[in-house]
Amino acid sequence: MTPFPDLLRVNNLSARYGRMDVLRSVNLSIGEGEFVAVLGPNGAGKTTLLRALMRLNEGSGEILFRGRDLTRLSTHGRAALGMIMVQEDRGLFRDMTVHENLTVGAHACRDRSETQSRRERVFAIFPRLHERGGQIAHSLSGGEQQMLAIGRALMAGPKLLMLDEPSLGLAPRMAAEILARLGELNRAGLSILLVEQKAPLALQLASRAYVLAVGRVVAELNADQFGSHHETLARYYFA
Amino acid sequence: MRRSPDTTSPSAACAPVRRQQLAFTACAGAALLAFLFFGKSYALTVVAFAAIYGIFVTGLNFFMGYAGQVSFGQNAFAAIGGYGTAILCTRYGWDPALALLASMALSVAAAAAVGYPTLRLRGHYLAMATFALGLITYEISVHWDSLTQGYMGIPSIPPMGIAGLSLSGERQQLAALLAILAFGIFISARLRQSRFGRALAAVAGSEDAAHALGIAVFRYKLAAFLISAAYGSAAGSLYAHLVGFISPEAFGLQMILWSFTMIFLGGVGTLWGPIIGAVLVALLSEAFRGFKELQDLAYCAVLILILIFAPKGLVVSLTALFQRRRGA
Repeated sequence: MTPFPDLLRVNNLSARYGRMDVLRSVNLSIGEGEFVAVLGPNGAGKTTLLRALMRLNEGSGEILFRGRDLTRLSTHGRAALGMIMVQEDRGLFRDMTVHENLTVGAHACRDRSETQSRRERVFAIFPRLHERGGQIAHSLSGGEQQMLAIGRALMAGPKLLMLDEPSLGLAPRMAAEILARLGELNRAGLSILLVEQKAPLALQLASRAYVLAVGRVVAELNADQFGSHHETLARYYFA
Repeated sequence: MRRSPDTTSPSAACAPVRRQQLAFTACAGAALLAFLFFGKSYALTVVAFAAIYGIFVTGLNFFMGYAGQVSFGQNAFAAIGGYGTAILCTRYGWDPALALLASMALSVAAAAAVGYPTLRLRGHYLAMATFALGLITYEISVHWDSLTQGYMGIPSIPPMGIAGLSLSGERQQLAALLAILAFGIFISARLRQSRFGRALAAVAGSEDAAHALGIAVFRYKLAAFLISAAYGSAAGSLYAHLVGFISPEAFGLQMILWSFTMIFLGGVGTLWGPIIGAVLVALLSEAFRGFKELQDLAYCAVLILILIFAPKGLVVSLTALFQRRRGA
């Protein structure tokens, strides 16, 4: 269905909190170099989906990354393969400076010149981070914190960058600005999985979208269908 | 040598701070040296105990400060160190340095046995397990008579020494203690600035985020725990040598209360905070000596006040105050 070879394939992924099912047999795939959005209202299971992919929550089902079965692989093992997530709360190391946060992002990279060139790339994408280099993370503005969270993820050398509502709590202009950077990263070849509640923002960038509602994938749309499926989207958002 | 180029720009801004630290270290070193030669015997003893506790809390700081975890059972490692040294030196005539290293190895093994299964779990499992370890070690020291001589304790432990060379004078002993403490602080400082130290700080900051960035959280927590056990054990061994006598009471729950007071009073997670805390508590304990049993009450009160009014400890609070003054 996609013109891209599979990077990530998820088969029958389920997850639960206690006795409550949060994800029910989710199937999805992301192609190499693709930008895929996962849309859905609050409580649809979007965050749980990302956390289960990273094994920060336990899930059952099959996850294949570049053809490799991840079932038994730890969170850091998945990160080492290039699955890097930007958490919903950004998960910054609050008491560290911008520089230190970025350095920790490249923890798994032992090659110093590679680390340095990643850092330069991050600064090229977010010049603001360069200006704020010595500042403590928790003293940054919301938008800058989000830039730092994404920058830190880029330091980890992602093959697949997964973001959990990066626009959350940001002024519309800042949100648009940050999403535009994601678009640039994708055009430069990075595969991106973007979880968003604000569908219009995500649909401008994505080539495909899954709609998640109460833990199930209820629709899968291609970019050319986005316009004609306003009703589908609206039904799940406002039901 | 491992410093990456990225740290150069922020470090330019804190050069005066580093110079201050250097000056502070030099002054403290000179004062200690003078004290070593001219100090009164009683004062020497107080400082010797402060140094031993300094080693103990520098170790604890790896786990509670740098890695942001909690251990209520650090007294177990001091007990293993103390009893290991006492038994090996008095009963088997081992060289003190060798006994110290052997006890450290045993402590690290015990820490691994407790830490390996519990550190994988989130939350309070490790804290509870360490608490149990502390209690178990205490019970063993009381009830395993044939090994530990129970409440009677083990007397006539020789002073510390190495390769047949014994440090009998109290000035020599104190000098050795201070050298070991300095070595311990040096290791702590180096590791804190390293890749290892940054990973620990990341684990302390956000376990999920660290894990998702590819840091093997469990391995780092375990490493910090093992290091803290090694320090704790060394402190126990040195205590046994200094006093020459140990009994179960020496490594009881009181030790946890004392070390927590020190570490939080000075500043958890800072390099010098725990040391400053150790010195302050050693001095306080002399001041409070008249209160006897009420002493512990006083420490609890200090601990609670610190946690409420200066949770980051005196070092951080005073530095902040100082910088604000200078800025104004």
